[in-house]
Amino acid sequence: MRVLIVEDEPLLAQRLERFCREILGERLESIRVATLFSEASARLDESPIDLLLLDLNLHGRDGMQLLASSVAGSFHTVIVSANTDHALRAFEYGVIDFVPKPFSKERLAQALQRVTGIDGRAACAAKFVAVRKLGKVELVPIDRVLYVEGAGAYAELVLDDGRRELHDKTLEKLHALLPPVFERIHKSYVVRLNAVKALHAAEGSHYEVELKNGLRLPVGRTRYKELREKLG
Amino acid sequence: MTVTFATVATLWSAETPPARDGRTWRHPAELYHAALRRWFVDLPAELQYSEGRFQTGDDLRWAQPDWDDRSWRASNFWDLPARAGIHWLRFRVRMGDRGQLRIPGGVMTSSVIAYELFWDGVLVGNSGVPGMSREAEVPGRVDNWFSIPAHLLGPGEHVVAIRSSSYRCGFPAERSGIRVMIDAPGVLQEKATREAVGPTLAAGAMFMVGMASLIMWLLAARRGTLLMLAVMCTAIAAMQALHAVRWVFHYPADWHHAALLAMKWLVVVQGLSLVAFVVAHFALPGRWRFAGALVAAFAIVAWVSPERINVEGVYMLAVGVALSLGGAIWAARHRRRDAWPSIAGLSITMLFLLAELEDFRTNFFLKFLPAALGLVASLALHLHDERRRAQAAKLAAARLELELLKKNIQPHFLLNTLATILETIEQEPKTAAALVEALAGEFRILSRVAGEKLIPLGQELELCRAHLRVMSLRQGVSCSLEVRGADEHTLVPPALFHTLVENGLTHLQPRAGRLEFELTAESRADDARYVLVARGVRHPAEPGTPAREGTGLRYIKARLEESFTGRWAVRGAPVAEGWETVIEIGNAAVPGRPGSEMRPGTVALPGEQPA
Repeated sequence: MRVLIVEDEPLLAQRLERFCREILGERLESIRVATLFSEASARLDESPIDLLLLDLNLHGRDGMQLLASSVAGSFHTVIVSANTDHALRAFEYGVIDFVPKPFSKERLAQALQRVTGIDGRAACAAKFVAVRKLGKVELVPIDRVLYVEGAGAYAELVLDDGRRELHDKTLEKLHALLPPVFERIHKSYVVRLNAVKALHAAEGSHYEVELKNGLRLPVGRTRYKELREKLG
Repeated sequence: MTVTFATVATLWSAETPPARDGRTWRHPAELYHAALRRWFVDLPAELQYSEGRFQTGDDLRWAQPDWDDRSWRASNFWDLPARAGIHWLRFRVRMGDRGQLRIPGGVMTSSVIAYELFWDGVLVGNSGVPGMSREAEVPGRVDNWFSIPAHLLGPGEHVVAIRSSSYRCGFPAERSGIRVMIDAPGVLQEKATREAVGPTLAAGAMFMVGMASLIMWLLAARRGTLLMLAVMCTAIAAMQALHAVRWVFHYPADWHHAALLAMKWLVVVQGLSLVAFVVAHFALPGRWRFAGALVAAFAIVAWVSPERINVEGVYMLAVGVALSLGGAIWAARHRRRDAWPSIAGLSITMLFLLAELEDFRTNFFLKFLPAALGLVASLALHLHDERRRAQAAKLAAARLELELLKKNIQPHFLLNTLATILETIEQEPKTAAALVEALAGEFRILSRVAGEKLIPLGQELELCRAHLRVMSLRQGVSCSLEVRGADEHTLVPPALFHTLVENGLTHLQPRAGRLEFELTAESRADDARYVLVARGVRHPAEPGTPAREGTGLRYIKARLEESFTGRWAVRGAPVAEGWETVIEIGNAAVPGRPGSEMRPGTVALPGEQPA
């Protein structure tokens, strides 16, 4: 796991780094520390990361914009901040966790668990998906997402009007941020359950869901049973 | 007698040619000065006076109607020599016939001379006693009313003879005179009532306003304008009362000059207090020049105006009104919204005065009323604005105290510090203890100064140093504050420099592990100048940091405005070493540029520089 810490207080940066090393152990591939996000983000293309521990004052429009551009990235963002007033906003934008300062090792471990764990889920579901488009970051309301299709290192959001938006995160990472109503039905598909009209069993153990707009998506064999239960 | 009547009546009805006996006849309104004409215009239209005949000397036979005065010098009613023995003035009066609306059976005279008045040879009344010397003369009253005996009334020609002397008239002029009106006695009486009622009302009203202003000045607000308003209104009241007194109490004739003189000076006081009010109320610059101009103008008026002292008074008042109007217009051009009522009122008064520059007694109060109302309206507007500002300031003070506490107890600062303490407890307990102590130190000072508007500079510097100790430990860099030339007892708003230091820490990065602040203070009398240089590496502010919103600068501005209203300036600019902020307090520091007018673009704290 490649971690970037953005924290301007050296002692706190040191503390975060120490805890990361202790919690992740050998799973930690690399760890870097920067004072400002704007400085660090420029180099993200050369050396990609999996997790950003970001100390960000979310006060004001600029702060939220910075957050949006962070969560639009391929990595997970954990906010580590003393300003807890804006924690809910941060979750809405799609951070996987918000660690208030001062923090303990246990609390940070919990946050890292959400990132590294299988079926890890954000502490609080997002309301928007931040999508990078022509150099700008656009916020897509999650209510409008019908399903998400995995495409390698990317994920493609399919909206209720048929529009498709490419996201820098993998399907797994994106799924972690989505509310529980989104269900993984296939290794390449996450679907909104209340958009499903019917579950079909085709020949040869081939399963499909039919969405309300008539579209059909494949269902993984291993996931069929669980899905059928959830759909009742 | 009947024959005489008939003859005269015939002559009258035939519209006699003017000069069978060499006399000219005119309605009395045409015989007097324009300023006095109003007294005569409503006298019966048929009434005519011949021109006067004047003779020095004393002979009671001169009262007789058939005395031949053709050899006497022709004279009008205002050309009697003053203080020149006893002399006689004779003129003839023609009346209409008995069919007229009212029978002119009364004579009203106004004069400061002592006289006896004969009607067709009969003494009908006197005012004092004429005499050959000051000692022998007894002054009468200014205004007198006499009845003409019924048997001497009637259409035709009558002879009026006035035996007079003027040693005690009081007026310094070489000439004196008498106003003689003939009409029905009731009509003549009414003139006095009508003359007195306006000034009486005005005197009462203005006295009340004057007293109210004075009481407000004494008890509510010690502001010069209220006092000047009180002086102005009381002067008007006194002047109007003096005018009314003549008609109500009929004071002796030798008081009249003094009374008029007093009224003139009261009008001058009005003019002066009017100008003083405007100068003070609108805080006009160069008030001494104003005063000089006023004195010069008054001197010129006194020099060039006619001898009649009331005219001089009106001219002086007109000068005062004009100057005040100029002042109010200046104020309006300098965005004083409360100048407009004054401009309106003074303009109307000015027009009224110009329309009738001759007399200031008759409708004087009505003429001056618009100006007085305008000034009071201006004052009220100003008080209203002031009260709103004061309320805002009170609110602001409460807000500032809260803001000061919030700035330091704000989660960001406190929680970050606690987070650092946690780390140091585990890693370097000694540092943790030092950090806790430094933090406690800062909060101790803070709780001492939080409720204050101004604190000694020494305490402020202590607060800065406490903060720097916390930040040094937190950031692991050496933060220091060096102070030059500061008087520790000078008063400054709390957290003034603390805010600047905080901003410096947020927006500058240490250079070679050091962040240095240097405060240079210069103070002269009430003026002070502080230069705070923050030495470090400037970096663009991280978007979203609170200082970007200018809360620090807002706090500083609000605090300075609270304590040094309009007499401060803050300037911030990047310098090679980092950032320099200059704070100036006092009159000399900001000539013609009050702090409140500073443009945000020219003022900034580190990191708040416009993009």
